[in-house]
Formats: sequence, structure tokens, C-alpha cells
Amino acid sequence: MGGTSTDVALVQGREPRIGRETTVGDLKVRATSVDVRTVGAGGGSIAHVPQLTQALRVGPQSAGAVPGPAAYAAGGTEPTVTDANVVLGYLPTALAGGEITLDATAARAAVQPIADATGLPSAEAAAAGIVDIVNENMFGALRLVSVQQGFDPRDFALVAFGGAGPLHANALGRLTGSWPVIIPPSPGVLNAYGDAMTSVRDEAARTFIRTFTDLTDEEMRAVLEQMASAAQATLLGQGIPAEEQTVSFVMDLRYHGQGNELSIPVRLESFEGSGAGLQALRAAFDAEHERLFSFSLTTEPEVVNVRATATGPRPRITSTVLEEGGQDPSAARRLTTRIWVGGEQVDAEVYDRARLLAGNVVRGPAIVTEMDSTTLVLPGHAAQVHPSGSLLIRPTED
Amino acid sequence: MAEILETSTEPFTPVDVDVVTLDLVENALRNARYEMDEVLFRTALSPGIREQHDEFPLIADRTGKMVAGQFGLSIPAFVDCFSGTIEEGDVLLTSDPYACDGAISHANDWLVVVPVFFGGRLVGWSAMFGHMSDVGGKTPSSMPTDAKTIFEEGVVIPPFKLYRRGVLSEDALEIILNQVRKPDWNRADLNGIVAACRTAGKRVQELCERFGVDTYTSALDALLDRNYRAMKTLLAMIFEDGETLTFRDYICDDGVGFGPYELVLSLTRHGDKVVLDFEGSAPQAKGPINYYINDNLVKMFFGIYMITVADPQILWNDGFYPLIDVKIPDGSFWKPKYPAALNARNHGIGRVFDLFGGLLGQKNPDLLNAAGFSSSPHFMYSGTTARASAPASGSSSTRSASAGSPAARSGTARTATPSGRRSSTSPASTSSPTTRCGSRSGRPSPTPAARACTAVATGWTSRTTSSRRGPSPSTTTGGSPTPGA
Repeated sequence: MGGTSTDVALVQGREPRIGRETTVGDLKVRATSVDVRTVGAGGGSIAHVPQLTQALRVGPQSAGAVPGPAAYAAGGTEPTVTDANVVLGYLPTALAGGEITLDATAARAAVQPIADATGLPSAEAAAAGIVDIVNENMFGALRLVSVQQGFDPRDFALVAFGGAGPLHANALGRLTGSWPVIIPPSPGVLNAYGDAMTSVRDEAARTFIRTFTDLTDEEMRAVLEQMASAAQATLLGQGIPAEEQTVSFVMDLRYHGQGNELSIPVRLESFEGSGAGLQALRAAFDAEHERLFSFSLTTEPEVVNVRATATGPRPRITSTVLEEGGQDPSAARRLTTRIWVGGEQVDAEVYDRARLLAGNVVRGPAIVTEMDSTTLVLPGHAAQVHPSGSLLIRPTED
Repeated sequence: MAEILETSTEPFTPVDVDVVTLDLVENALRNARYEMDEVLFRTALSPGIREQHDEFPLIADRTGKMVAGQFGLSIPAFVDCFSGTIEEGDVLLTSDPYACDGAISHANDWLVVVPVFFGGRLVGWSAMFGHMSDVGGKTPSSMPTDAKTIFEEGVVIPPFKLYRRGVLSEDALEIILNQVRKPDWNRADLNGIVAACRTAGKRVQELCERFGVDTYTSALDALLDRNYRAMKTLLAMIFEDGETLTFRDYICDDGVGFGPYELVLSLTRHGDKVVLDFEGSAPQAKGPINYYINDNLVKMFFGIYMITVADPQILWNDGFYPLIDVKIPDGSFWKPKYPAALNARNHGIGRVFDLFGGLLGQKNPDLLNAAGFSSSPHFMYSGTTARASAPASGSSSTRSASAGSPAARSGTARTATPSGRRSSTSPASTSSPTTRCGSRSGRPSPTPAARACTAVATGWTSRTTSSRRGPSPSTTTGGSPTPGA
């Protein structure tokens, strides 16, 4: 979650779901990419109340970086999600290591009209409403990649990143039931970290439209091998020897006549000539169709695309491992503040993330601050510090 | 009239719903509605559905009022017409416009209606229809421009239980699919529609689980009320009491040589209410351009023009419907008598939007449009493939897309007689008095056709096409409200 939008994606068994189609605005681009869905919900999303319906709306308009939220005191007057977080006390008044000072009075002045227009009793209640609604918008995006793809979000953990993500992550975990909620170190720059950590890879793809009755295992194997060589050649050109490469295969299939394909991972070895490879492929495709849409068809499937991906070794980068520090996090405690949560003002401890040690348990209500982000731990939840530095938020038993 | 079987009779308790919860439920219903679209688009075989998105979803409350969606199915009227019981696990299917008071308006549209239960109580309905590329009849695509009765337009399915308590009526489905040229397409698309309706049902159940069933049902009431109040304010703001606005448009040719047909819409505000009156419109056409329009659909079109402009994010629903009265003369272009031909009623759909634009534009220049698309011609190609003579495997690729299908396939077609058909639906319905009253209507105005205006009748409305000219600024959410063919 950033300033203007929230991007979500699903990673299953360490493999991100790859989409064959990306929507950019109103346009569909049929190019391979990680299946990321975007909703217009960010820290800068503006709350408003249309006069006619008196409904509370958040976004999709955004205050952007300029003028930004009212709390940035850069000329913005409209109430944004960030302003709501300031009113609720979730954001400290100094951000980015003191580079940005937040104006809590301006934030309150911006949010108050929302309370007036909706009849909510206070600026805090209006701010809580704004946060609830933006969370619901993000929940909608998370459903797109989970429930709507046939995955139960309770079987997954929710990883929150982007500057604003960790503020909303605990609440989203409650909506999705995805525990633990994981806040990686430096969530505001996680993408850059990922870029440095990623392997070199190349995908070779070709269109190969063929119904199953017109296809044999041998033919399929030949096409897969051809794709593999093409992908591997690219990596060889990058100086990665063949023995350090791994190759995986995906085929895009649909029932003849459909307009969308489903991607099915395949193994080269299964196409050994007896027809068993195609049979297994058909079964896997029927099963995937049923999982996604609750039914399969007797209509003949057809292959549409064949893809081979060659992947090089992971870059040799070691992550820091935190020193063990026991459960008590009090060495990292900075101060106690007042926050609005569950309809009332409560005390919350504020911790400095840089000083947390492995094994520390931060009990909510609490706020964990760092240079590029702020994490909110809600009452009834606790964040455990993992040796990798990640915070793992879970509901507490008691 | 159908009897709804509930296993729990516990009453619903109205509770206060705060504005935030209300907006959460509204958002969740909006998501569920778009999820219905997505399930169908991704599985459909018919090009009209998968590429052009000619399908329309609906989620209704327990009483059948639409809370999310975009078509004019009157569930109470539909249930009234259906004889028998409706219970959990049932899935109803129909393609007969005359049996659902025009909720669908030609036989290409297959309408699925699913009751949603939670804890043994009926908590809502989901419904969806989609345009099948072919439903049999005398021309491929089932849109013969020279049809004079609905019997020429393919198989017409009376409302029946496609699934009875979760069990598919396979025999009935096979009989229906035996009438069409591309049975695989219809089967897949029907599967997609049913899956979409069930998905919506599941989402409604999840909402009941999450917020509590009393909060859910109360939230729907509040959402309906929100629309009601918004519309009431708008009506008083925009229209003067007692003033009548009128707009006229024309269709030049009905496909069989008659025309032009004059189409009239008037609006008058009386106190809180507005009357939309089609009086003065031409009698029903001899050819297939008749647009059997449902009252609720007229209200919905009107609401889209009015409310969406004021709050583009609103989930418009039929809460404001009591503020609108619709008058449509029986036997007119808008309410033809059975068995008038209906397939090319897309011309009527285009004119409805022109009529609304012309009518409301008189009070609000922002709503004034130049005459719009009025029809959206699409060309349906058909023929046989080289593989048509190959051994049949049941796949669509080996089927002929033309009338050249094996003669044996048509052996069971058109065995139903009009009298038999009448008995299969409920004539007792008072809410749809025109259904199956069946006597031959008066002749249309037999003016020689203005050939220059002849339209291509093989068409259906595209959402994307209509959104180009429609008043709805809802392009960010991707849905413009025109019902398709």
C-alpha cells in the first residue's frame, strides 16, 4: 500500500502466480507478468460524502504527493486516509526519520467535516470509518487474488509492504484470516530489496494452438524442448552455464471456444510417448477449471501457448540475522501514546524497530516505528520478532 | 404462485446499521456483482458473452428487490408465475420473455434465478442472464430479421427447475440443447451463468456470517432507503410539479416492410412521484423489432440517468422504484402480445436511451445527447467447417455452425403447441397481465417502409458501445447499464 494505490498478489509455495493478462486502466495487455491486482486505495485517497446520498466514500481520487494529505501541511485540505491515521494517533508526528513533520491539527480539521456530513459523533469516529472503508477496498483486492481464484486466504500469510501497508495490515489480517501477518524489515523499500535478490530468468514462449485430438506426446515434447533451448540460450549469453540453470514449463489451455486460458505447469518427462502426458494434462486442466469456476466441461481442450522458463542461481546475498533477545521488548520502547481503537482512546506503547531483537513479543495496542514505515499492532494481537527481522502478527489467545 | 420452503421460520430483527457498516456491505455487494461477471467472462464459449460481455447480473434481497446489478427482473412477479415450490439448492432457468414480464426480452437471453438461503431462511436471490449465440430457429444466431412470431426464433424455455435441490435435470437440459446449433456453447455458457449465480449466493452467505444476518438484512433495507431518499430529493429538484415533458423517436422499418414506428415517452411529476408514460407509441410491430420492456427496467434506466450523476460510486438499487410509475399500453411496441416476434428488439433498446436523453435533456443539458447508437449492428457469420463431416466428438469444433446440422437433430423441435405452452405457465398472474393472453393483436401501422432507414437487425447491444454515449460516468467501474440482447 502506497500513497495512491494498493497492489496485491498471491504467492503459493514460494511461487508467485503469473498472469497472462494485465489490466492497465481500461486496457487489457496480454503479456506475461506477476498477477498483481491494483485498487485505488492509498494513504492519499480522499474521503468524501456526496451530498445526495450521504454515504462515506474513500477514493479513488487521491491527494497524491502534492498537495498531499492535510497533515503534510503542504496546502492539502481534503481528508485523506493518512489524515485519518493521524487523527487516530496511529502515525507519529515525525515521519521518515524526522524529515516530515505531521500537522495533527490540520488533519483533524480536514476529517471533522466528514463527521459533520455523516452524523458520526466525532472526528475520531469519522477517521475510524475512513480507515475501515479503505481496508474494505483493499480486502476486495485481496479477494480477487485469493477467494476468486479458488484459494482460501486463511491458508496463507499476509505480507504487508509499501509505506502505508503495515498500518493497515493487522486489520486486513482480521478480515482475511491470513495469519501471521508478516511485516518484513524496511517494508517501504521491499521492492528494491526483492530486485537485488532475484534470480536471472528468461521465458521463451510461442503460440501453439492445437486441440488435443490433433496432438501427440512426441510432438508436445519436441515443442517443449525447443522452448527450453531458446530460454537456456539467453541465460548462456549472460554467462550462466547450463548446469546452473533450472527449466520449468507452463502451458496455457482452454476449452475450445473459450476466450481465456488457464496456465498449467507441466513436466517435460511426462510426455514420454504413450499419451499419458496429454492425459495427465487434460486431467490437470479440468481440475483447475473446476477449482476456479466450480465446473469443468466435456468440450475438448486446446493448447494455446507453450512456455519454458530458464532460471539462474540466486545471487549470493546473506540477510542479517537478529540477535536473540528474549520475549521482553522494553529495551526498544520509546514512549507511550494515546490512540483511538475500537471506539475509545487507549494507551499504546511505541517501539523503535531498529532496537527490537529476535524473540521480542510486542503486544497490541502498540506502534512500531522505523525510517520508512509504521506498523500498528491492534489490541488482542501480538507481533513476534523473527530472526530475519520480520514482525509476525497473530491474534493472542487471551 | 410458487411456495418458498424455509426450514427456519425465525423472524428477522431490524437493527440499526451505522454508516460505515452500510458502506462495507455496499462495497461487498458491488464486489460480488463484479465477481459474477468475471466467472462468466472467463468460462463462456459464446463470443457475445466472452468478448462483448452481453450478460447482466443481479443480487436481490429476500423480497426480490435488486440491491446490486443491472437488469429489471421482478423476482416477485417471476415467483408469482412459477407454480411449485422453491427451496435451497434449486436453480431456475427460463428464456421466455412472456413468462417473466420482459425481464429478458428475447429468446436468445437465458435467465437463471437462484434463491439464497442462510440458516434455513431465504435471505436473497441471485440472477443472471446471458445472450446465447444460437438458440435454434430458422437462422443461425436465432435472429431472423423477417420473423413474425416467436416460434421462428428458436427454443423458448419456460421457467423450470434446472436444478432441483442441487440435482441437475439432465433430461430437460438435453432436450433444450438438442434444439440449438452449438450445444457446447450453450452448455458452457449456462454452466458459467449458474456458477456466477452460485458465487454471488456464497458471497451473500459470507456477509450474513460476517455481519450477522439481522445486520445484513437491515443494511439492505438501509441501502434501498438511501436510493429512495436520494431520488426523492432529485425529482423535486429537477422536475416541476405537474409539468409534462415528452420526446418522440422513430424506427423506420420493422424488417418485414412496415414502418415507420413512432415511439413516445412522457414524464410528469405528481408530488413525490414521477410517471413515465409510453402512451402514444406505435402498436406492436409485425416484424421482430418489438421491445417487450419490463417496468422495473424502465425505472432502472431512469435511475441510472438521475442518481449515478449525483454519486457515481452509488450502488443503485430498486429502492427508489416506488417513486416511479410506468405506463405501457398493452399491445404496443413496448408490450407486444404473445406470440409477437422479439429477436431484433435491440433497436428498441437504442431508442429507449435516445428517448431518455431527449426527455431529461430538456431539464438538464448535461444529460442531453445527440441521437445515439440506436442499434448496434453485429454480423453473425455461419457456415460449415471442413471438419464438419469428421466423426462427431461432441466438441464444438466438429459441429456445423449452420443450418447444415444433421437433420436428425431437429427431430424433436417445435413439438410444443401454443395451447400446451399456455398451460405450462401460470395464467393466474396478475402482475403480468399480458403474458399469454395470446389473441392476435391489431395490425401495426402498415405504412410502406422507408427503405433508406433499414437497419441491420442481426444485432445486440454492447455495453462498451452504450457506455460511449450513456449518461453514466461509471467508466471507472467498468459497467454501463444497458441491458444486452
